[in-house]
Amino acid sequence: MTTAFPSRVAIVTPWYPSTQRPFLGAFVKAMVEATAPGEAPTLVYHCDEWAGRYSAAEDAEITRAHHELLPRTLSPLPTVGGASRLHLPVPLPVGLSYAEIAERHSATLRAALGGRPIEAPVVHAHVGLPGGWAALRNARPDARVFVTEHATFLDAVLDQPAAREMYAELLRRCAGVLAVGRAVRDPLVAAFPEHADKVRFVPNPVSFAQTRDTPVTALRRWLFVGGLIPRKGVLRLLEAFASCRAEDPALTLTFVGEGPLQDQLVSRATALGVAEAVRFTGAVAPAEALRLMREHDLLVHPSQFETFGMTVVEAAAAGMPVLVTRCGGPEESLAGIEEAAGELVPVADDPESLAAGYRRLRDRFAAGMDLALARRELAARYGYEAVAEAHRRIWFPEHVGAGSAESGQEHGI
Amino acid sequence: MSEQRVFFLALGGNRARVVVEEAARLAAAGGRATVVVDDVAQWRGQRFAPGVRVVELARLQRAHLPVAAEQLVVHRAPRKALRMLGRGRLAPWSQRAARAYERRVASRVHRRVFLPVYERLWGDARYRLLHREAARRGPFDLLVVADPVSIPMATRLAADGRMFPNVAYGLDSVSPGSVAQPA
Repeated sequence: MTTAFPSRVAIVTPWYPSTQRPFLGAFVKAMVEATAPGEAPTLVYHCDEWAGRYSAAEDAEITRAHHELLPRTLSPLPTVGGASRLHLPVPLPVGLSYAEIAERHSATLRAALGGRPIEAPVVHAHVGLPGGWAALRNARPDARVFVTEHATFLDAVLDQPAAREMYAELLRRCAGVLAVGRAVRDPLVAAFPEHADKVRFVPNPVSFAQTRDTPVTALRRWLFVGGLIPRKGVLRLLEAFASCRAEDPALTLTFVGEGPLQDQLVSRATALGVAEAVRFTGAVAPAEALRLMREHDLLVHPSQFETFGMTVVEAAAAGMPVLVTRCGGPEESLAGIEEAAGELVPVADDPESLAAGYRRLRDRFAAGMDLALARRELAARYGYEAVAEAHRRIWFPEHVGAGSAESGQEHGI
Repeated sequence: MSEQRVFFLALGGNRARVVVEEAARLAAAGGRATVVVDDVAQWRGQRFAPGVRVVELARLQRAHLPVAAEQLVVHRAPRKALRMLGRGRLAPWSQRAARAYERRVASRVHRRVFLPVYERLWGDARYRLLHREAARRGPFDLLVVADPVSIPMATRLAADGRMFPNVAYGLDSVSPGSVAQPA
């Protein structure tokens, strides 16, 4: 069996869409799809976390057996953009610290590689801990290691002393950290001001390849895409929807995603008398989520915090307006085109400000909105070509003509 | 593609979605899916597609002679004796006595006497039961390891290369054409 997989660019990521979790890491897959065509061969090491509840003795036995079995299971398979993917499960007993989890990722990658380093001159990891750490510990000495940070839980990571130390070492030794927005860059620079020059903006790429068959004519079919969890503001959304539907019974709402709040949402929809207008699709593959965007009129994204808010840009790419909270990433990604793209509302607990935002947007939409302008501008910032070029400049600056490396700084490209 | 035989080892039961979906996909594509679970009670609420064969390891183990004998001698026979003694007015006493016996005697004997002896004499009984079951239904084209708890057992089973020539951590980790792939 071989454990050597040479590539020009190696991607190390804990997140990548899979059968078990079809949503997780859709942006990593998009990044691969955007960048891999110009950087063949690209190989994705998907360090897939498999959590479970088991004893310390079982954990030791599982780890030993896994490291023995893993090399026999490796088979690079085609993924998007002409890249290949290796699937490496990382068994994790519940309750480990961020530092321990990062070490598990590193050890799993080492076991997969048979103790040899990753055969690539550029190793690009997603998420500092655990992805960046695993990449750093397994890259060959002359490789340049980059990290894209998108973790919404970065503050919690930096609150743990051992994890903070590992992050400091990662920043010392890596070639650069790419933040998808200020919500990520600011806490990093605040924690490690000495490495501020290493942290730059590069957003997640979004595909603008497909257009909708018929343009939006009225904002009646609402859509939410994401986890049904408190941070996403889904309960507030349901209340706001019920309030607006009292004025227009033709309104519908589709929740795409799953999570612990689903049962509560179902019973609340019944209590509010809107159950027949609310649909739950469960988790769907990213391509299906994009198709649903092209079949709805309005994306509502009432999150309390987002590092980037990829869904918002995807909605604009699908030709639909957005009603979104100022929760970090979205106000950056829509900077300068807020009016053309939709309506931004404050992060709040009350549903009425969200409902009021809808009414303003509905009235403006009836008077005419320039969704095409928003789409063009966002494609220039976050389209595959733009983001792939940004990565190319960072990964292989020696191949880029003088003067182009610092262009597009305003939006990180 | 048709008649691909895949042995899913899902003893942990905590990654049910992927097991149920992949087994269904395989069955729909004309393959044969055998899913081994530890205890079917862990899978309540999950529905396997028609044609997917589910094997319960705990049930195989209950049929293992030493376990069956212990169940008979330590649990079932005393329970039955107490039931027979406790007819009529003695019924409440009999029920209390049966519960006390289970708690104070049977479960202690099981934990402190039977299990250590069983582990020492038939420590790898689960492996042998499972291997025998696989031999009865195999060989298989692929062994899929579905969760962390299954990994040690999978490593032992995979040592039999004739029974399991290929091992993977999921159907979407194997080459297209060899088994059913995601749509």
